[in-house]
Amino acid sequence: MNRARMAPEVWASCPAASWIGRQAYIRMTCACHPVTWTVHSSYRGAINVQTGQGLVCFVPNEAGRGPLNINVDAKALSDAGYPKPGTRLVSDGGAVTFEDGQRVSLADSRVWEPTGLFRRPVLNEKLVGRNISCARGVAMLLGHMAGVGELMDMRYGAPTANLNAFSRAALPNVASLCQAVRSGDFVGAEKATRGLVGLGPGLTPSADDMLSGIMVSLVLGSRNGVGYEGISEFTSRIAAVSGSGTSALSREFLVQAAAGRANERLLRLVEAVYTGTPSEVRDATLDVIRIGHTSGTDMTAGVVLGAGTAVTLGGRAA
Amino acid sequence: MIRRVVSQRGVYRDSITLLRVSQGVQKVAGVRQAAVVMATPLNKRVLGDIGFVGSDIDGATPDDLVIAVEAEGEGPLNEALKATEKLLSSPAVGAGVRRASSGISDALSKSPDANLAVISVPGAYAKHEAMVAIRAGLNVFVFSSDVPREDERELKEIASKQHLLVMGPDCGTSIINHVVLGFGNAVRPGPIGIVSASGTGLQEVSTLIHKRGLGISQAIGTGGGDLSDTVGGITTRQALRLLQADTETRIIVLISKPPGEKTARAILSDVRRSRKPVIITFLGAQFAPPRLGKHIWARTLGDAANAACALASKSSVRANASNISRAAFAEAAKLSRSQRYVRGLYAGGTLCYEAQVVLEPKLGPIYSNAPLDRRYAVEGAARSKHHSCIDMGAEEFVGGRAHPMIDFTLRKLRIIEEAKDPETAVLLLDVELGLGSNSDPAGELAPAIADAKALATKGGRYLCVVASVVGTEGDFQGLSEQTRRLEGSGAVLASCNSEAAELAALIATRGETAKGGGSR
Amino acid sequence: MTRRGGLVGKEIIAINVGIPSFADDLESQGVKVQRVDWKPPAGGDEKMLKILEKLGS
Repeated sequence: MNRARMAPEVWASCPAASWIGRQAYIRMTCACHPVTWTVHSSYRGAINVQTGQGLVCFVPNEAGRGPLNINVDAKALSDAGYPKPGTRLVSDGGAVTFEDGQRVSLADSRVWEPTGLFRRPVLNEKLVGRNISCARGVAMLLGHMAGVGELMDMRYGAPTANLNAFSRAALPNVASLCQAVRSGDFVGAEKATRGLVGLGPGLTPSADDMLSGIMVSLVLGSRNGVGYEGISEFTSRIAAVSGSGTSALSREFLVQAAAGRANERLLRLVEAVYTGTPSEVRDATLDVIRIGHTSGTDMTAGVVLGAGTAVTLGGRAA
Repeated sequence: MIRRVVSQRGVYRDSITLLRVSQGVQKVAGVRQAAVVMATPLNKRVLGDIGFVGSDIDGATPDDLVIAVEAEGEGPLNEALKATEKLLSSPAVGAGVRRASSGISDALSKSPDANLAVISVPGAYAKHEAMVAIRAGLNVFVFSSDVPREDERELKEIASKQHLLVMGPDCGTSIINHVVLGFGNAVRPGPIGIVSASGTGLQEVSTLIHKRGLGISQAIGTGGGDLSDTVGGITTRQALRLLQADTETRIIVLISKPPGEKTARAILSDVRRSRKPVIITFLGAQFAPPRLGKHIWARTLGDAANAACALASKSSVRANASNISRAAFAEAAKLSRSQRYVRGLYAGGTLCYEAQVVLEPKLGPIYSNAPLDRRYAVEGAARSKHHSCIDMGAEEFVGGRAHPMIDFTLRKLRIIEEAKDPETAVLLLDVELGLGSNSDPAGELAPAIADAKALATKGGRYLCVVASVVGTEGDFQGLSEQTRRLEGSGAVLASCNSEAAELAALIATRGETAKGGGSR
Repeated sequence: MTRRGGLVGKEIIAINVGIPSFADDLESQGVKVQRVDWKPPAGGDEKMLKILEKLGS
């Protein structure tokens, strides 16, 4: 029991991938091997690789599994800037090897593809509302508010003077997006999204993360009987708006979220809000707000707004 | 006011780095505001709205990073932009920046005069690396834990034959030749030497000595397992011999939990033979051994620091006459009837233990996940009951997070939980500064403390918060600023952890323990 | 065997094996540190390295 619990940051000489998200797997295998790809970007905790089909992200196990993630058993994959963007790597189907000889073995990895079906029935509106309040409480207390996350605490008619510049810009669009979802107004939703994609600080702009949270809550809700069927068409239109409005990296995540796919921590939060106890919601929120800097808080804000919107729609069909 | 925007193409940095960049830039004197964002159309519009315009920003694409700075003049502006570059540039391997070595042997060929290996690899590999270092004639500081005791013994036997020091495994702190290894605080040089099996214990005693105007010659961490009977105190005994021979050292302080029985006998016979006075702190030990002569038996870390300073300044060792009674009565008067328990929430395991040593004679059983008395063991994560001291650095809490001296998330949540309990009278906290700790503990804790107190007030109660800060004004977090902000949140600060525990007991019992409490 | 011998009273010249921030902290106190880019003892894959060499990187 002492402080030597800090995990050191090391490359093992041949780290093995333990999990590959389904979409990453498709991108990795959809090529004739051996194949050469390039490093898109790398920073502490991730190496993003540009395959012919899109990005895949090498991340440590602790980052959690995700649709585009390849989880590797190294505590942290790289210092900032290494491997350098534009450098190449070779995939032979069983392993990838970077330019400096560093190798990641994929042989023993398993494909991760959650069903999106909750393990327990969705709670009634009152209890989901209680869970939403719990998530909001934890996130407001412990989250990071430099982005639009603070909007999760907005009440209608409350003063906006204390909001930061990004939140103030986002507020009317967030409100009209939720309204458009409630009324099934595709055009209105697209318009509102245009006012949100790419907005805010962070490597993945803050509002993008919130949109991811909103979309995942709506899609998973729909799949489990809350909100309305056919929500996916709604969300894929929203994601299409992201065309040139945000970075390539963030767009990848938005597209996944539109299909209800996201990091497992976010999925667990959504499931906890719809079906779980306040204590489960609290633990799940803590795990999500640790993602990135404001990213986790912004995603939680999205869940608060998305789940809140979905339950008011009840279980009706489109 | 001058505004400038620079954009960087294809620069990806994780969000935490971006945060650090924007915080770093805002700290530059003369900078009014700064924004670091990806150059998406909407962000460009927001920046435009707050006054940042220009061709640099117009040409930037969503995959570019934009840094927008508003400053009072060219000078601060250039400083800010320089700071940004520095913060964004990475200590990357390759590009000829700093070629690291592939192993210890390779490192030695580049640095043949090296005399110390600092090892923090995963526990399974630590023994191997330490062995390589020792065979190459290096002293070692092993931060890694989870090394089997038999391996530790083997390392230390080989090292001691070569007169090499093995600090660790499981060693968080040392101060050698006034250089801090691992975690630790800025303390001045002086005549007091420390040998400690506990990192936080070493920090507490060294900072208290510094605060009293005296200083440290050497503070040798031995690692948590050194005084087990398997290892037999090899490093401790070696360190004692070193300090005997060291001309700068006049007084020696020994800190640990009670050693294994066999080892205790060996250590005590070493102590009795020591020419220099030794202050022995076996935290939680029941009885002082006989025939200590000029050596001193200290019950707490605070007592040990006092005794060391008294000896060093050649004044007599008196019990610390603390005038905490007034603060205690003022706080106690505000408590409501239901409130009666002390709840310690600790980041430092040794300080948690020391608090129990102080509280138990005054309050009776103290529940803990690292208990003084095994009958009162509880799971740390369970709801607190009765009086309790929880070590939040214990394995069950830390899991995938950083240690609570760095990541305050769980402690803050727990603070709020305790505030909701109508029987909680006093919260007892430790705050560590110095290398390796959180860069702004007060910034983390003060809001949680304020919220907790407000919660209690709304429930018709008064939540008392007592804390102590382990640090000196030389620590980068800024002792006086941290103290000020903690006091500003309503916390009562004690001069050391043992005093904080005494104060907490006084308050919870409404002063009854002042009347000769405790027979120990 | 004890070509370096004791530490007390001598200038510390360190080799850091593991967490880089320890090396940073030592350097901030003016201590010379040689960093080891640590990897556990295991081989790389020679065939793969040859392919990369052929690609001319």
